[in-house]
Amino acid sequence: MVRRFRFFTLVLVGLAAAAPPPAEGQGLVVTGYANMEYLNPQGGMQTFDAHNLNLIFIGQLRGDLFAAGEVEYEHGGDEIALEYAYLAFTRWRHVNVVAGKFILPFGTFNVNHPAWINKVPGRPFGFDRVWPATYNEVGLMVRGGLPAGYLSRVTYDVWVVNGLAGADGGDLRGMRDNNVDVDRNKFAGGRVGYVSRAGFDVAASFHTGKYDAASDLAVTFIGVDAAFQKSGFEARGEFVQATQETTGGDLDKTGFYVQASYLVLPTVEPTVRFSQMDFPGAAAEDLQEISIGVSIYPSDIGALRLFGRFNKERTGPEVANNQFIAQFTVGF
Amino acid sequence: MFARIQLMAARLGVAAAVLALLAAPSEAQQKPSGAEVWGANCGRCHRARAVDAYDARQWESVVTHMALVARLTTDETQAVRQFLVSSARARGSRGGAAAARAEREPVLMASRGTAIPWQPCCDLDVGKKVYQSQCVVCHGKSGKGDGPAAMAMNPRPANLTNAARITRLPDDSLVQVITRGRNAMPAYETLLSQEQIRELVFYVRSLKP
Repeated sequence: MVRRFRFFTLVLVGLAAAAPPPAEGQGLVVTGYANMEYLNPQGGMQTFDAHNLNLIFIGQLRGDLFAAGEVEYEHGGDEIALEYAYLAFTRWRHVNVVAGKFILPFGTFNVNHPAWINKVPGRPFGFDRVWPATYNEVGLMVRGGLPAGYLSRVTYDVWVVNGLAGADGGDLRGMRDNNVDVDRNKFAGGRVGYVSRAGFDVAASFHTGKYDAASDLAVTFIGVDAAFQKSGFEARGEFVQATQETTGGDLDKTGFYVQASYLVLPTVEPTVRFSQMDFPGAAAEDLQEISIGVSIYPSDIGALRLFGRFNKERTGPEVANNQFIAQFTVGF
Repeated sequence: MFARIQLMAARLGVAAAVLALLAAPSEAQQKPSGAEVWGANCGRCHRARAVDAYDARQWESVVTHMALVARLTTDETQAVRQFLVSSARARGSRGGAAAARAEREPVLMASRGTAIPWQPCCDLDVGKKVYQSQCVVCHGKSGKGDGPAAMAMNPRPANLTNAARITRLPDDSLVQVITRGRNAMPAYETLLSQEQIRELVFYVRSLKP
């Protein structure tokens, strides 16, 4: 342990000595996004929902230190949470160090979930109960990009975080928010990707660790994601698998989505998304969804989305739970 | 657990190596312009913010934030920072980002009182190179306002092949717009030399419908 500490200290001192001069300090920016919805579920209660108001504070500080934080007020303020709060050191070429609470860059949806970015209201199946989006963690991350051709790059993220913590075979989503670790076991993960000037990008991610240290039970997530953009057309997709160890054997939970959109006008973008989730031995969790609708952009910061979400129970009895969603969202 | 991490890390390492080999090493030496980086990356996740959305100091922070999330390379980050910050600074010298956003006067008005000397030149090849690195992303290869970043812009970038529009503009008006920006058009005052701007105007006038 002492040797490891000495080694890492030497590496850090060496990197600090090799770093170029610090950048000039800069100002604070307050930005954020908001999302208002009208939900009309089949067989349920119509409701307005002040879904979220998120305030983001970012600032380039002196010495190439960068700070960012996001506070979320959800459902009219009933839920208040710190989405992230981190410091980043950005002076070294191709290596950025992030410390604090951050959204894990596993796949793309976990980071790009805000309504003003996400072109379809709501989470796709699989990115709620399999990968517990939005999943943020406390820990340390190193990330960056390496040139790999003109306007193309290889990207990487590597992190060590507190990780999930819960009971044998428990719901993964309920294991988040382990802000102060309850055990010595940490989760580790990473993502490596390729971003091409041709408009496509692909990446693979993993995240693993023991969620029940007392019973020596681990969960491992693997994921792949890809996207393509050209002339107003966009296609993207993502797959995730969670292998959750339990005392009764492993549970393989999977989910994926594919999504396509096209800007027929600069302000009008029809979009369709198909997503599916599979839980072994849990018919109620074998679900499919097709969401179809249109986004209308009154400006470059706002969107009105009108969508129908059609759910299907794949192995269990059909439930009348389709939904019409009108969403007005602003990224400011 | 560490065995699993090692296996995963090894797989990701192989994937990274394969992806790196996909790129041509010689091209990796070229540096894209800030306009190209902006056009190629910002619209991947969200509708790109107009260049006049923030002032220079704000862009400094926003660029760092977004470069971290997008994992831009160091050179890409510097290029897009220079593009956005320099443009905002040039606009800011005339009253800040708010004033720039409020700017709605006709293009012809922009030429009044300009002190930028105009000299005829030029070499089409030089102008074409400047156009390709700085303008294609919005105005498109042919100049019709159909560049890769233009699809999500409202209003669309100007059609530079519109003879009725372009021919009625004197050269110094075009110089003024390029130098100081207008609406969503960034200010190139500190990004391009006066010679480059003159070459660019010469090339723009050569664009055919």
